[in-house]
Amino acid sequence: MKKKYAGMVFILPHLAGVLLFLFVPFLDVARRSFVRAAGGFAGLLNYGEVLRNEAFRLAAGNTFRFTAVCLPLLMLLSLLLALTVCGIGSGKAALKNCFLIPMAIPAACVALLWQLLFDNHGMVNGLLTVFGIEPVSWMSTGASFYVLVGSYLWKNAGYVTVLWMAALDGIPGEVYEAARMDGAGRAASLVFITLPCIRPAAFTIGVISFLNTFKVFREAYLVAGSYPQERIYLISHLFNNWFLSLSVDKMAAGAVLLSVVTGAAIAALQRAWED
Amino acid sequence: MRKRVLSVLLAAAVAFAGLCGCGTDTGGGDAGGGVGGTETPSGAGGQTGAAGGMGRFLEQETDFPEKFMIYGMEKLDDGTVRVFGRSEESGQFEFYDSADAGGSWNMAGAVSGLENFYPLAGAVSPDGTAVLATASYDENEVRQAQLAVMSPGQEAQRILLAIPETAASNAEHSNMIVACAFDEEGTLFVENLNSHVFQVDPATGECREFCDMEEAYSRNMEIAGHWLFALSGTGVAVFDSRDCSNAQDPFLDEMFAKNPQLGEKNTDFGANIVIAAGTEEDEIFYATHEGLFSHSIEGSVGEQLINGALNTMGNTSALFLNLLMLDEENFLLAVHLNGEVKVLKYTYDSNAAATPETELKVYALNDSNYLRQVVSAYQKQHQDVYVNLVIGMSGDDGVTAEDAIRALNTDILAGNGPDVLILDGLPMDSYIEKGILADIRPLIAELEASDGFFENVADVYEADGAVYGFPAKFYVMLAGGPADAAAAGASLQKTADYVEASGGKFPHGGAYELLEVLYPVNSARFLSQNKLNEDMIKEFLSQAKRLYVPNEYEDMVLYGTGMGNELLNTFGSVNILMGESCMSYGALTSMSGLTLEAASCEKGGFGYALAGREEVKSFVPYQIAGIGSGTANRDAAEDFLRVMFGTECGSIDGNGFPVNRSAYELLCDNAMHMYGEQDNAGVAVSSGDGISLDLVLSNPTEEQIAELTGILEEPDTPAQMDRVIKEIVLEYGEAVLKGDIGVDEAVSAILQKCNLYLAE
Repeated sequence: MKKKYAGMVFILPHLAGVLLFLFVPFLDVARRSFVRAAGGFAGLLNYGEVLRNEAFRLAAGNTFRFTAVCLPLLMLLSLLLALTVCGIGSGKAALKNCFLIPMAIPAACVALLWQLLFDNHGMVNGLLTVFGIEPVSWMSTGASFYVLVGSYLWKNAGYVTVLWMAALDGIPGEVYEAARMDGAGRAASLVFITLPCIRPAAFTIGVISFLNTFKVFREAYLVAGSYPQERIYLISHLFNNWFLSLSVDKMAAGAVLLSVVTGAAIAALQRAWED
Repeated sequence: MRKRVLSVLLAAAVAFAGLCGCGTDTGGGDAGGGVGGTETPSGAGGQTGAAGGMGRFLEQETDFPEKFMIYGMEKLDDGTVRVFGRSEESGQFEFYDSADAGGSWNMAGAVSGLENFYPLAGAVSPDGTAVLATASYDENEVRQAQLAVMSPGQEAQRILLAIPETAASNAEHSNMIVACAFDEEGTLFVENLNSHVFQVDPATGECREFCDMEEAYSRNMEIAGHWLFALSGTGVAVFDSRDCSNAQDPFLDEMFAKNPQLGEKNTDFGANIVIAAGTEEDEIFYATHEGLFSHSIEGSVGEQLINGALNTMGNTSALFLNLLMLDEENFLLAVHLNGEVKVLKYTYDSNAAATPETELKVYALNDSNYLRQVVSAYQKQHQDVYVNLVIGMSGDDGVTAEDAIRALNTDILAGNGPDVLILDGLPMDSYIEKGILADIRPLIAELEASDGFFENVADVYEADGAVYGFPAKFYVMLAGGPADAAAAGASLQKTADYVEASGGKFPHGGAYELLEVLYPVNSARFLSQNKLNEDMIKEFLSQAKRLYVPNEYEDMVLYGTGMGNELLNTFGSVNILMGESCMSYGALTSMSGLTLEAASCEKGGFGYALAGREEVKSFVPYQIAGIGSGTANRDAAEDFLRVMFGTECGSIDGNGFPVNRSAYELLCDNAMHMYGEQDNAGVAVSSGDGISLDLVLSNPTEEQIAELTGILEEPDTPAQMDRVIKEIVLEYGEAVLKGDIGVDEAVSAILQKCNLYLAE
């Protein structure tokens, strides 16, 4: 019991910080979502307006599509990388460090790299031309979506791989040894030992990766500005632009809706894992 | 127990560390206000800028004769203040004296013998004698430096200066005097165009080289007491006039290094700094646009006595002519402002609050000369209010428009929004919708009743009986040239047809600049029912592409409608006369632009009319101002707008035409006397390929003014000035003109982005 209270004392400052700087402001956001920007109670009008807003629907759709494509891809790709790296004996630590490099590169540099690579006269089109392939207008066509997906995977795969590796390292070697003695092959060990053992970690990794999908806005904004090609117009673009026009009412309603959807998604993810 | 105490201590440490990050930064921080904008110096209203105390220098304009160009001002040994200069009305050189520290001025006498004398520089000595320097030519057309020495009521004595041959890089410049001044002992010094300073004997014209500032490219010299300052764009050299010894003053060096424009001088109209002697041996006072400072030679500080932001000194359009310290509580400053010379007196008032108690926060995304003039005029009328001018994009900190707007919106949401907003570049419609702007209809109605407006412009800004933003100025885009060219300017397509048929060149610099000139003509048609009109955008880009010819000015902004913080004319038929274009096309923003245009038209038999008039008759609003609905200084904010929309500021030439009708009439009246009684001035234009042209500029005639007025009364639709739409259209338009993408691809991208913006 005493131990429990000691833990509470440590948690309390951060809990207070979260309450003060996140929860209370969020309550204010929720309040504003029921008020018109110029003042006066709006009821659910702001929500109705946001849900009818073409830009919101486009941004929400794009964000959903981006998450739906990126999340499974990222988790699968990084798990494969983690399994591969864990399989090799030496140099694991050095590789682990290398995986974290993309996380350390500032968004502005990534944006610059994008421009060098994907400009109409950029390096990728240069390469395509060498092979006789027609250049692609990467940033002003639907191809921009795949550039954004690629950027997200490149930036986050290393970090998520490291998380998977930590989970894999937590599986006791004796379990694999016993399975091997019982005649289990590598595939059977993966399916019946590795995957069940890393399931609790998968939930955390899934939530982190899901939340990171919102951070890709920085690169998209730096390369293509407030109004990028419509396939990469994300919810963060819309919030940024609503703030520029001081559309606080719409922003608040949008934020509440987004929180509800995000919370529901995380809860569903948790439930699926627990089941 | 120990464990529990340790736990509590650690938890407290964690909490403390966490909360430390939330403290208010009371340290230096960004004096410029971060991305929130660059603020003009504040709080230094009183002695040394101390806030809260009492005592401040107040400005007062002395009763000095109008239309008088000052060449020298000095405090004589008996305490009389003497001014020497030329009356623009009589054309005579005259002395004026004030025995009561600038309270009243009496003519001390005129000078004869100075007919056809065009001074390059002048000065008054402590004994009251005045000198003027000029250049004359001998029978062999060799330039000579000539000095005229004068006393009140006497004939001027003309003496040729025997400037010694030096190792100057340009012998032609040796006899061209750019500055002259007396030291405290009455010794005369002159500086020539080769940056050599000479000590002169006015009786004989004998010159002795004092110092060589050729390497520093000095073009201005000031003397305060026995300190001689050779000023240049790269720094300042300080000499003791008594023995030519050089003083090291790192403080002044650093100041000039930070503000190179301080060393620049406009020979006719003044400089950005003037220096006067103090009462102590090494004490000087200097006035800049920042204010009045005292400094000790070789000292390390400049103590601010007067904050320029609170008076005329802060007006960046003002150029300084002379500064005099009368005593510790009185200074006289001669300035050249908006074509007039004024003598201002600064008197210390111990009963005035050191910093005005009321602060009026004025926000503008971009700096402008006009706004600075308004602030200065307002400050002069309301010395009890301090105007805190916040510029969102000062231009030297890499802040983008979006950064600046984001910072402004944060301030507004936090309840720290500005009292007055200059809405150019800001999301005005959105601010109106969100209740950020107050209704200023009563103020507009009051001004309309007293002064009248250009109704075609003013009516646009009233909706549902309310006015939330109103432009102080506006300008129009004109097309002109020979009769068929002026007719072709009626639409973009006709213009392109005409240019192609004539085989000539449409006047433009780079691709972006061409689009900037065409955009205000056509952009009012871009939007219909909150959607971008595809056909209009396509037409605009297609015609722009027909008019565009790649040239050497591609990456240069030559004369865009906004250069620096000044709005310039881009309309000029002189280009047709010079054979550089087949027609003229651009913005007419001033009366001086009109006189040049009238001169070109008269020489070439040209005419002009509103550009794009068959498609849409549009004007470009400038300096749209509104009042923040959350302001606690509503009265002060309204007074500021009264000055901004009023007659005094509106009648200053340049930066567009005033919407205020009385201001416009005064502007016209002033323009009709622009070149004085002589009624004309010559201007020579030459091109790189040897074509030269002499034009005679005359005061605009009543017919010309009436023609302009007619054109200004025509447009009834504001150009589409939404920042986001303009940026997107011009970005893709430039790519089209440069051949990077096709018109259809650009139109599709513009529609997608703009419609997304409009859908938000």
